Amino acid sequence: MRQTFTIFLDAYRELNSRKLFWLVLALSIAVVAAIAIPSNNERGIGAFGLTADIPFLSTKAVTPAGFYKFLFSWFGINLWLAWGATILALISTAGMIPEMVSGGAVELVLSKPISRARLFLTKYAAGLMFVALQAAVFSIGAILVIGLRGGVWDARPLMAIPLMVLFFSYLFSVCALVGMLTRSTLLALLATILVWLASWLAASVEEFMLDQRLRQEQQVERIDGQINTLKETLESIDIQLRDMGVDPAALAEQPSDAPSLPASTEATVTVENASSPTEAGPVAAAAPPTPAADGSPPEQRRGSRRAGRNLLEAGRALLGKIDASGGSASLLRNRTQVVRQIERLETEVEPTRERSSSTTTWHRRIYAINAVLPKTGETKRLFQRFVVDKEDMEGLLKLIVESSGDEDAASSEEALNNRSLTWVIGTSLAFEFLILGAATVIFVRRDF
Amino acid sequence: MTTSLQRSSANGRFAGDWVIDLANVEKVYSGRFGRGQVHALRGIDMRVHRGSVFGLLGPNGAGKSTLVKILMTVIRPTRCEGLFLGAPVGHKPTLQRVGYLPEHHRFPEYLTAAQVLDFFGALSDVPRAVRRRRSAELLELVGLTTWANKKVKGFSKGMRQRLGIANALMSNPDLVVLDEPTDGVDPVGRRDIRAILTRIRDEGRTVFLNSHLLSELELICDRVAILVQGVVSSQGTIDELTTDSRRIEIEASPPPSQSAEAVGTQRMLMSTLHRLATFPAATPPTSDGTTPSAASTPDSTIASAEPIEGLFGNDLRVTLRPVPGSHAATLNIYTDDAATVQPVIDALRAAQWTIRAVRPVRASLEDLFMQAVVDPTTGNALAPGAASTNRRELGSAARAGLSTGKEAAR
Repeated sequence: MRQTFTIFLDAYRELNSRKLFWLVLALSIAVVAAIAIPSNNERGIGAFGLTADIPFLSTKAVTPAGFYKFLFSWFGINLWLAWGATILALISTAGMIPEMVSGGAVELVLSKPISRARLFLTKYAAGLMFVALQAAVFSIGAILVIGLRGGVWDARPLMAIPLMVLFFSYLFSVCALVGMLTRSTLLALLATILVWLASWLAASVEEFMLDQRLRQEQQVERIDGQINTLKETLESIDIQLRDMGVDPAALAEQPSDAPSLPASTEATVTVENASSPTEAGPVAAAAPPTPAADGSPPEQRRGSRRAGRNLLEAGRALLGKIDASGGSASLLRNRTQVVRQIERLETEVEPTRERSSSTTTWHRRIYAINAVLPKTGETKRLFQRFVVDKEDMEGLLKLIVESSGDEDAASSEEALNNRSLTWVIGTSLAFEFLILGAATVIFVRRDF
Repeated sequence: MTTSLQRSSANGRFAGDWVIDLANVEKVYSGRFGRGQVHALRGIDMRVHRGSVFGLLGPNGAGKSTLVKILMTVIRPTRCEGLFLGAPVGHKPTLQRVGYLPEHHRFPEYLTAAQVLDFFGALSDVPRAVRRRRSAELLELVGLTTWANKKVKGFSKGMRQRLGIANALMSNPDLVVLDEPTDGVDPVGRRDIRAILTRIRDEGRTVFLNSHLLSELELICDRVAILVQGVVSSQGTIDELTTDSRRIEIEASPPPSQSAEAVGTQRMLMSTLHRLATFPAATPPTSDGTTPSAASTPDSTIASAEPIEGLFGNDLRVTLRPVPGSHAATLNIYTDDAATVQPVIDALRAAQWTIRAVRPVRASLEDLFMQAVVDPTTGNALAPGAASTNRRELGSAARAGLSTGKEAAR
C-alpha cells in the first residue's frame, strides 16, 4: 500500500513538474465558465444582454437545465474532453512509462522489493489518475453550472469521470505498450494517435455503412410491402371476378386480351381520382409505375413510403368504385394494371435486395474490424445517453425531426444508441486488456 | 533461471556466513531473430563474506554490470544457482535488505534530494517516520544537508553520486551494491566516499563494489574478484592474490669511486650480479670488494630498464635493474622473509654500495588486473566479451563486446 501510494504521489509530482497539468486544468475551468455564460430564453440564446434567435434552444424547446446539459454534452464532452483535453492529457502522460524505463532510472525502481507487474500497472493507473482529476474538475463544474444556472441539481455529470477515464485508458494502454518497448515518448504518442485515428475511422465508416445498410434494408422491405399490398389487391379483384363468373386463371393465360377492352372504365377511375383531391397525389403516385421503379430510391424514398402506405387505401377505394360500376371489364383492366405493377416491382426488388445484401456483408466486415478496436466514439456517446434526459430534449428532438422531415435520419443514430453497454465497453476493454497484458508480460520478462 | 536450493541445502555447500554465494551464473543475450547470441556470463562462481568490502574488477564488457544487474533483478539470468542473502536470486522481498547504486543512475529531476530519499525509501517499504529520520542522517553523512531541499536538476555529478550512496543506504541494508560509486567524483569526494564505505563496513554491512579505479579498490577492498570475458579469473583477498609477486626491493648505488656513467654499464651490473650470485647465502662476504676492472671499460649502456636476472645462493631469485637517470640500481629479491635478504645487503655493503632503501613490495591490483586481462602471448588486451572458439563465434564475440559496451552506457 505504501509503495502504491508512493508511485501515485511520484506520478503527481512528475505531472506537477510539467506545467501542462495546470494548463489543462485551467483550460477545463475556462470551458466550464464559457458554458456558464449563455442562457436560453423564449427566443433563443442570450448572453451579455444580447439574444440570438435560435428556436431550437429556446425555453420552448429545451428546459434551462436541458440547455446546459446539451452544451456540456455537445461542447464540453464532444469537443473539449474527448478531443482537446485528451490530446493534452496524452502529451502530459505519454512520457511517464518511457521515463520510468529509461536507462539509469529503471534500475532504481526494478531493484526495489516490488513486483514488476505491480510496478507497471500502478504506473499505468497513475497515468489514468491525471485524467480522472481533470474530468472530476470538469464534471463538478458541470454540476455547479447546471444547478446554479439551470436550477436542477443533478449528480449524473459525475458519470463523465469513469467514462472519461475509460475512454482515455483505451488509448493509454497503447501509449504504455509502445513507450515501454521503444522508451520513446514521441513514438508512444504517435502510435497512440494512430490507433485513435484508426478507431475513429473504423467507427465512422461503420456508422456510414450501418446507415446505408439500414436504408437499403428499409427499401427492400418497402418494396416487399408494396408487392404484398398489390397482391392483396389482386386477390380481392380475383375474388370479385370469380363472383362475377369470370375465371382469373384463364385470363392470366391470355393477358393480351385485357388492353383490347373498352377504355370507359379507365376514364371512370381517372375521374374518381380527380374527384377526391386528398387522395389524388397518392393514387397518382401508385397507379403509374411506382416511383421506386425508376431506380433512384433514396431521393424519392420518403414519398414512395407514404405511397406504399396509401396504396392499400387506394386499392380499397378502387374496389369500391369498381363495385359501384359493377363492370367486369373495368375490373379486368385494373387487374392487368396491378399484375404489371407486381411484375415491375418484382424485377426491381431483386437488384435492390442484392445491393442490400452486399452492403450488409461489407458492414459486417467493418463491424468486425470496429469490434476489435477500442470504441472511443461510442464510449463518448455513452455520456449523452446517461446524462441527457429525453424529457429535457423532447422539444428539441421534435424540432429536429420536423425541420428535416426525415424519419429515417435517426435510425442509425438509434441503432448506435441501442448498442449495449456490454458491447461498447466490453469490446473496448478486451482491446485494452490485450494491449496492457502484452505490455505487462513484456515488461516483466525484459532485461533492462 | 535455475536455482538448486535442494542441492545446496543437502550438502551444505551454501552454508557459512556468505552474503553472496553464487554458482554457475550464466547469461546469454539472445539477439533479434535468434541471431547474434551473446554469452555475457559463462558460469560465475562467487562468494562474498558478510561484513567485508568486496571488489569486482574487470575490463569493459567483462560482464560486471550484467552480474550486478542479475543480483538486483534488473536482468534475468539464463542460469543461476546459489543464494543471495539466503534467498535465491530474483526473490523480490530480499531486495529490501539491499541498497543499490546503479551505474549512470538518474534520479527524477523534479524531486529534491530529500524527496529522492523519501521516494525510493518508500518503494523499499520503509515507514514514513523512519524515512524522515534516516534521510536527514544520510544527507548529513554524505554532506548534502544544505542541499536537502534543492532539486536534483541542479546537482553536479559528484553530488548526484553522494546522493546515490545515501539512497543505497536508505533501507538500512545488510548489503550495499555500488556500481562505480566514485565515477565522476573529484579526489576529495573520493576520499569522503571511501571514508563512508569504511564506515558502512564497520557498521557490519557488506559492501559490494564494482569499479574501474583499481587504486581505489586496493585501498578499501578486503577481497576482490577479477572478471574476464564472462568468467571469474581469480578471486580472494588481495594478499592471497599477490603472494607470488611479493619481493623485497633494495635500492642502492655503487661506491663513489665509480663514475656515474659506469653505473649504467651492463658489464658492471653483470659483474656485480655475478659477484652477488657467487656468494653463498650462508657464508659471510669477503673483503674482496675492489672495483671491478670492467668498470674502467664502459661500453654498451643499457638503453631500457630491462632487468638482469640471476640466482643468489642456490634458489633466491634476484633481479637487478639500473634506475634510469640516476646513479642507483634496484635489486628485487623474490622473498618476503627479511632474514633471507640480509646476506644480499651484506654483500652489497662489502662491495661498498650505498643502500638507499629497502622495502617489501607486492604486486599492485593493477599488476594483477593487467596480468588477468592481457593476453600473455601478444601483450594486447583480450577482446571484451566471451572468448571465441571458431569464426562464427568470433563475430558474436565482437558483437558481445559491442552490446555489453552499450549496456554499460545505459
